[in-house]
Amino acid sequence: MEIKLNGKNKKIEKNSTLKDLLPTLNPDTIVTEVNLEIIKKDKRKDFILKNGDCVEIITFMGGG
Amino acid sequence: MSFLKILKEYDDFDFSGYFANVTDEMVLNSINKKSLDKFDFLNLLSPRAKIHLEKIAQKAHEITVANFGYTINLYLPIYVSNYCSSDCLYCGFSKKNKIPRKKLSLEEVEIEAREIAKSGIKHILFLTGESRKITPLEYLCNVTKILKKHFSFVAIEVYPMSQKDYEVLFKAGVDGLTVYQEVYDKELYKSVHVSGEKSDYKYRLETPERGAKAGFRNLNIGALFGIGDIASEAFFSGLHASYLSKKYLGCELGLSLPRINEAEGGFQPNCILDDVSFVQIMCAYRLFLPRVEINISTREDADFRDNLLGICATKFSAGSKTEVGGYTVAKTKPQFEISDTRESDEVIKRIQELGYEPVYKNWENI
Amino acid sequence: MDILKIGDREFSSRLLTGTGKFRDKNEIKPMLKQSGSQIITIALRRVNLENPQDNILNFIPKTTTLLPNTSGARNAQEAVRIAHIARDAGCGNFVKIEVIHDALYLMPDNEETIKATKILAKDGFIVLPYISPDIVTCKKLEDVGASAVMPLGSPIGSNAGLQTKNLLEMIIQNSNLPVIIDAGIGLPSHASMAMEMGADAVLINTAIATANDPISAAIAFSLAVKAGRMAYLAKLENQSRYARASSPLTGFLNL
Repeated sequence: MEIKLNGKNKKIEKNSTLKDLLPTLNPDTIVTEVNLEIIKKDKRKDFILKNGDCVEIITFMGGG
Repeated sequence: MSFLKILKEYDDFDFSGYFANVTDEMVLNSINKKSLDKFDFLNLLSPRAKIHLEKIAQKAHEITVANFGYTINLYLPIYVSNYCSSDCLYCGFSKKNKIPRKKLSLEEVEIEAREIAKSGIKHILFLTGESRKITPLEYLCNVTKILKKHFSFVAIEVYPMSQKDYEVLFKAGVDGLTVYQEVYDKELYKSVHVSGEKSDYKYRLETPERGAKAGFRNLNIGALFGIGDIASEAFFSGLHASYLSKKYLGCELGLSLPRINEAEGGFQPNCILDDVSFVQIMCAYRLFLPRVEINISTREDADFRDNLLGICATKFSAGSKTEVGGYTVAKTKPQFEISDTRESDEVIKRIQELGYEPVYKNWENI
Repeated sequence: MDILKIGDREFSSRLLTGTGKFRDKNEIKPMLKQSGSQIITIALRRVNLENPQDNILNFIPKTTTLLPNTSGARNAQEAVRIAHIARDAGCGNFVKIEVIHDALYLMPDNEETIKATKILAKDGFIVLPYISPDIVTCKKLEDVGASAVMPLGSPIGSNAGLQTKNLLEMIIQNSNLPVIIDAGIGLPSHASMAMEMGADAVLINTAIATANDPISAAIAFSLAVKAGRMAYLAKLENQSRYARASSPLTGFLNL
């Protein structure tokens, strides 16, 4: 199945969780949002993605 | 923060102690500043500042010309009723005074309005004694509607009302609200407002704000000089105007400097505001509040008014009658004795001779 | 103690700084320490999944108050969304509203900013809106629950100083909220002038971050802010000597 990840299409396994998407990222310094709804850190491992979900992974950067 | 709370901060303020420490340097510094804070305002109200009055007047004149040009707004009062349910020691309309009482019928209001309109002046202030019973909201609305046929700007000086009632009057055509606190000192307020609705200090203090919220575009306030300590009453008046103008940007603020004159009831003023202090306060208002309108009524005599015009006055009544029906229909006792007894056309002629433009009509809500 | 109060929080420093445009993020920590700045702005972005960079939070001491901005938002709705993400990420409840859809001059959209402020203030945020310096907008922001206003001195990144001085003066003289001059301050003298005029604080990012020596620059700004504030509190003001020849206005009083 396919989801949109940070604006780009991405193919993933069925029944993947949100946590599965983030193997290399430090879970404490990012925010995850699925279909404009924020998914808290401790919910990511149980959050099963559906076909067509729109996922945003956001972090903090320098800004004024 | 409410203005009542701001006033509370001065409960223990030692005005004479502060004034004793004001130096020439401080006064001059305050005159030269571009924007003045409340301490600068105090410096200008101090006895020390009297020595520098000419400098202060020059600055006041300069600011006034920059903000208003060489113009003076004209208005006329119409007294529609002198019934009053309050007993205020200094007022000729006090319910205790045995004077002939009169309330104009709507027909008489029409006749008076037509007569006043002949002056060409389009700004009118209508006044009543403070009797909710005799001059209820409905009557005030009806008077407004008649006046609106003859005048473009209608202001009221009646008993303090709720925001809701003011909204009704605003809809009926009222543009401005005049309400004087008379005296900001709470104890003195209590002592001169013996009984009746007017004895409610807080309700009166918050009246201009209710008017602003109801939509009036013009608020005129002030202390009645002669009751409380002169400098602190002037200070609180200016502070009140400053508070209102900052909170309600859409409102034009005006300050008047009524001083106790001979009125029915034989009230002995606690103090007298002399001419020098009058000019000092007027100029201090101007420096502290560059955009505020300064209203000089016919309580003041002709020569004095003509001189104030050249300093920083921006609003004159002209040819006023302070009796109910005074322009045509009836003769009662005036609320206060008029000193400038010239008819409006004489006043206007003099204004023009002095190089100022009389403004007959400044505003019309369309 | 001269305290700057924003919402329910109190600060002794009146210099706010930003994390944008640093060549070396390791300079942020000493910059904060040396300048005494207690509030710093950060921005939110999508993670670059191919090349995830270090999170900026790793470079900011925990004691610093974070002020996430909503840069990237083009309308109120987007700003609200970004603010919520920042709060959920544990950045606290401060937020700098920044709504910009003018790509040419990067001027903020005051109207959308008021809308976003209203929504977020109701939702418990301490809202600091970045605006074009307009007194009417400031009054509206006051009414909808902003905790401070941040009018710009000149366009973002221009380092042009207080080009909007007259407009800022109107705001400073009439605002019931802290006024923080944001954007355009390029030199310590600009910061000093803002504080002398009575601004409550300034926010400096570009000028510090892009200086040859950001740490020294931050110290210079910090001193300038203190000097300006002291001058304001001491009521120093331009004293144009008052002398003029004209006919007396008070002669009639026979003084």
